[in-house]
Amino acid sequence: MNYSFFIQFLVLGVLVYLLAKPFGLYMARIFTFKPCFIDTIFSPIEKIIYFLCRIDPKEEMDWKKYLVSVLVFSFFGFCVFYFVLRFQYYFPFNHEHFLGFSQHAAFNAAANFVANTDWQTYDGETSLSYFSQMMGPIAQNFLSAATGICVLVALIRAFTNKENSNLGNFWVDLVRTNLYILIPASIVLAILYVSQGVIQNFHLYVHFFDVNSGKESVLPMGPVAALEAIKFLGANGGGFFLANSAHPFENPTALTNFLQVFSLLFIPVSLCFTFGSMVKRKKEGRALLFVMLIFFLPAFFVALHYEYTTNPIANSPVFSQLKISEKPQVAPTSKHEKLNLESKKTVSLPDVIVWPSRLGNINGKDLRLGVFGTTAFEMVTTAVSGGAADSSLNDFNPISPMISSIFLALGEVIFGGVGCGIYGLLFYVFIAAFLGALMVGRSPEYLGKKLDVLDIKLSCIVLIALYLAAVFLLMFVTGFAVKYGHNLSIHQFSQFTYDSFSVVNNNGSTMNGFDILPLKLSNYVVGIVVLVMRFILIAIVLAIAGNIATKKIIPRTANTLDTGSVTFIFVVTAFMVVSTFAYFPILMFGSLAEFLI
Amino acid sequence: MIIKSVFDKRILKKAIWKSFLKLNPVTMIKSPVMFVVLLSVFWGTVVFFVDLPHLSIKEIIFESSLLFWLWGTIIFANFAEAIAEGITTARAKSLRRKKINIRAKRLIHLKNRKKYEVVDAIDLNVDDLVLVEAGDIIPGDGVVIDGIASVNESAITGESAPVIRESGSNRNIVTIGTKIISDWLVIKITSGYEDSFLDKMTQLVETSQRQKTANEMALNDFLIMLTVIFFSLVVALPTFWHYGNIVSGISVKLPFVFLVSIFVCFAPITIAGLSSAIGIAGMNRMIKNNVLVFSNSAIETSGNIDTLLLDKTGTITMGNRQAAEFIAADGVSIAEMAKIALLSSLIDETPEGKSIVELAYKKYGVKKVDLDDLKATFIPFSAQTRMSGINFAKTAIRKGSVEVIKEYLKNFSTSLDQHLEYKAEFIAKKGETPLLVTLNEKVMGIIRLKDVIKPGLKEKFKMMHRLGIKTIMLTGDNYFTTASIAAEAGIDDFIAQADPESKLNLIKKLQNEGHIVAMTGDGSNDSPSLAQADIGIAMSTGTQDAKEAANMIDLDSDPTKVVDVVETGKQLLMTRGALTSFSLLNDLAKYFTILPAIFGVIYPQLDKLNFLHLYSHQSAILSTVIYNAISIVILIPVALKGVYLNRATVNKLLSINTLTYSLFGFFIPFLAIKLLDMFLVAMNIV
Repeated sequence: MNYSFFIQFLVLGVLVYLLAKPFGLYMARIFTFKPCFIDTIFSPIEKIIYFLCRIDPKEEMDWKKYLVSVLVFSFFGFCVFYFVLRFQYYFPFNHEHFLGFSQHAAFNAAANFVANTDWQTYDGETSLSYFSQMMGPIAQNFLSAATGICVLVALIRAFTNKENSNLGNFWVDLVRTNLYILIPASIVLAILYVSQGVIQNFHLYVHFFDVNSGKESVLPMGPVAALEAIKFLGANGGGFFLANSAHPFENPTALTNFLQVFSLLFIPVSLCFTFGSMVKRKKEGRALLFVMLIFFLPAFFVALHYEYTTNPIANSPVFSQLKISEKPQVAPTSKHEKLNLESKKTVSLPDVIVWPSRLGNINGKDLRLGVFGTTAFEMVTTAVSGGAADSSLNDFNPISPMISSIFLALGEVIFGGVGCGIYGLLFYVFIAAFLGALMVGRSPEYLGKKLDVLDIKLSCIVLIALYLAAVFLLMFVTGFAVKYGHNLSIHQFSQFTYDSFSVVNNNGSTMNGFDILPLKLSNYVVGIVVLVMRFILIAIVLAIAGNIATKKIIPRTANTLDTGSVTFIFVVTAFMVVSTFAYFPILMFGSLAEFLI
Repeated sequence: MIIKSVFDKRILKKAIWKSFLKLNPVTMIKSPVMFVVLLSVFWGTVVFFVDLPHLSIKEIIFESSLLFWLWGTIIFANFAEAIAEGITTARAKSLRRKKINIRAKRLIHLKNRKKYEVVDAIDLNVDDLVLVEAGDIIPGDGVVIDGIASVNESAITGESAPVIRESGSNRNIVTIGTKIISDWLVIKITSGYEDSFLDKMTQLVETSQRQKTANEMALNDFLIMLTVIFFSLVVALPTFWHYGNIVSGISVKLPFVFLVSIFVCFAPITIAGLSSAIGIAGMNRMIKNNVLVFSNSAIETSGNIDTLLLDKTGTITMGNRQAAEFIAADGVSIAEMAKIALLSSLIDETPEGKSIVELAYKKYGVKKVDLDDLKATFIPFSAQTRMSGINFAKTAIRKGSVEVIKEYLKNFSTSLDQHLEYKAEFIAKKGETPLLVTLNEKVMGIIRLKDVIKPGLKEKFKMMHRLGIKTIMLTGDNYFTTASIAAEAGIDDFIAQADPESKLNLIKKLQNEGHIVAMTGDGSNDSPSLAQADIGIAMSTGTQDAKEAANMIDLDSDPTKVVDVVETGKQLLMTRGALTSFSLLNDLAKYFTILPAIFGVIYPQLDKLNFLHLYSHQSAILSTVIYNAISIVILIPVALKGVYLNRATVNKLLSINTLTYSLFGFFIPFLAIKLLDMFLVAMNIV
């Protein structure tokens, strides 16, 4: 067993904490329009943008106006994305002369990037021109991430408002988020990536003679570093290449892997401090962070522990069966079946049995990144709504995808996406505040604002929506597999579970379970689900913000429930644990059954 | 009827019958959770009977016993509600009875005061003539048509001095509940008892119990959320089951009853079933405290009160002035003065008189005077002379207010000593009352009468302080009176010489600052403030307007009832919270009992989750379902009685309650299900 991971973990933790705190406070200054040190550079640009876009920075929006702005903006982004992909043949920087996307593929891609989900059904290197990469994924990575942050900021303002409905100006928030936060941070990160060997160019694809295969091969090129920086910073996760962060051009070294994990965590953690600072109760921001850590740390170490041991599948009857006949009896009939067989075949590779005592479950992991690097990456990418991947999820110990599924199922609130993590967590906090208030015989309040029936109702609706969407999507896929699928396995059910949760909760990470669906169907279903879930949540968050904004601020007395206290953190956590268990019966059919084998 | 215990036999019997009647889906639909559970169990029963021919004997026995307990779960939940309703009805009845205790002397002829019949106040009709004499309570609102008397209306007005009520003047209106101190009156009843306010209130208690409060509504949404979630789970489960069948190469049917069992076990039926019982129980506790509440919301809001406005000094003082000190005039010894004062009040039955006697004996050590030895004639207080006293052979002792004595002294053509008059004025300024005592023409001294804080009030105010409630006294009295009483009672703040408008403004101001304000009051001029306050508590002796504007009526007219009200409100919410967290955490155990047992058929490895080592799949399923059903019954007393009211600070309370109830909620089901399992196995049932 290798304990070096602990040092890596410590470095990661300390680095995130040290940098996130000042950055969070910096973000708070940006959103409260306080002067800060880079004003001289950015405020002229900001003014020019306002002038060009005819934005009146002094205009205040109530929640409906804010929501309409978000929807209009996202729809506009969606249309541009869709249009660019459909007609990319006619746009510049298409060195490889890629044809336009089909309707469903373009819809799926546009929907996913606008919804900050980044579930990809296309291969970046064989279907997207550089222009499309820049106008589509890269642009939307900035914009959809910024949208999430803006919605959170609007919600925070609702808590500091004294009986007025103004939540700020979406356009101003959007511009400032990008200009002051995402773009500068991305530039720094991109430079760091380039220093490690991530490519950033507009070259033609390189054709070369592969000595190993004795054939001519192609090496794709592109402005990768630009995407890579915001891909993690904005918790997006859509890769430049199909292999995502397992590709050496996206993630060349252990350091870049570390940086990617770091930058995934960076903004979600910073936002906790932003939250605390903006509501003027630092304790409350820290409390949110603690709730996240209470879930993340044990789960993370359990996953690590099991990744350092043998995969239980090695002992499963499926495995022994395969060992007897290395080759499948029946020739694969479809692409999906082939995939399934392949995943089982990898299990049968001897290294699962040979290596465990020394390196752990290294199947499907790049040794360049190590067991710690890949496991941390997987855990963080599902805790944060990242969705990127640097290893083969299907080869993980079943408990790791199970833990990831739980992160997903909770609604991406353990750190979660940028902005959406905290506002997602707040739904749980609202309900916990309600339950906590009952426990002490008071009416619920949070951050000095009373929570009324509407707030609780809306929070409940969110949790219902998440659960219903996940269960019924899973039911749909399972039903499809029962009817049309072959080679059903427990593992496939885990894949379905993981993928359904990922889609419903706007993560975008995948175990390729949806491959059994026809591509067109899966593109449309996934596209629609991610859009609906993303914008339902945003609408509800803003509705709650609108409701809360107009309430008066209740003075804090000795009788006020301290929502920053350890006990309250416990209440929130306990409630989240109870909610998580609602997904338990589903996991029992999948990864849990797989793990207990 | 006195309700001796929660499980009074009659109530119990009725409740059992009612819990079956409540199975009617039309009444069930009011509680969506219970309705969905009822439908699913009903559906499960139908499916069971349809499938009956295809089942083996063993399956029939097992599934029917499951169904038995599933129906039992619903019946138990209904029972909880029925018993709470039963208790309320009984309480309301006893309340009516209590009210009837006022007796009235109904005159048969206006002219003849001697001839009357004693009837219950409830039987009085409008225009009835009633005689009230010293010591009687006025049995209804009415107009004085004959006589003159002093009436203590302190309970209404808060002013401790008795007022004169006489016929034919503008002082001819008397109010129910006030007490005649001297003389007599003939009253014509203007409002019948039947439509009196108390009666309307009693009806309200019985009918308004179903109004949902904000917290109840939010809780209801929360419960609906859980219901929807678990319902969708059981809808999807057959598909997963089918998939699992194919994976493990077997073909086992998932009995529909199992699905229903899973749903019923996880649906928040415990809280949903007990929820209305908790609400009704809260109302009951209020009635028990002699507080009538218009709505449940008022009880729950009262848990949040952080400011209490007391409308006048009268509500916190006895309302009867009591002797505090004797002040001797120049040239009179204090012992002498005390003795004269004692003699002046020997047969004075008013509280003031009694207090003078007591003071003389206790503080001034006057020797015991035997009434029979005195050979004196007593002059009782009358509204005409407004003096009382005692006549001996040669001497006459008189006691009265400064003005009256001054008038009296004129008979002897003497006047009041200047020095003594200043002293009396000073006492009056402090809000106290000076009484002068004379021996023949000589003024012996002053009896200082003082409003006394009602006993036990200080402690209650202290408790309010601990509950985080700030008390503010608002009164029309002068500054000195208010200040001294506020200081003595331990009231945080006071505003003297306040008019009704300034009261209203203060409430609005406090509310704008985000405070939850309670106010006590009884006068008509308080009505706007009572209506504006978050909780308005009217005293039962208050005017009709005041009562209608308030949320609650305190039958004991005790302003510190607020403490009980607040605590009942808190306890009500806490009970909800405790039961909610308890049953939420109950679910965790069920994931490890019923689910592995059902799913274990297709994935045997899931049996590893059965760390309780329940005997078999069947015993695990049955014992979970049984636990689910009986946990409702066991929690009924908790719901009715309310959880233990811990008076710690809010944040400490959160720790204590959360830990207690969540730990209990977590461990008890494991233990209970294991025991049930062992029991079932021992009884050879499974």
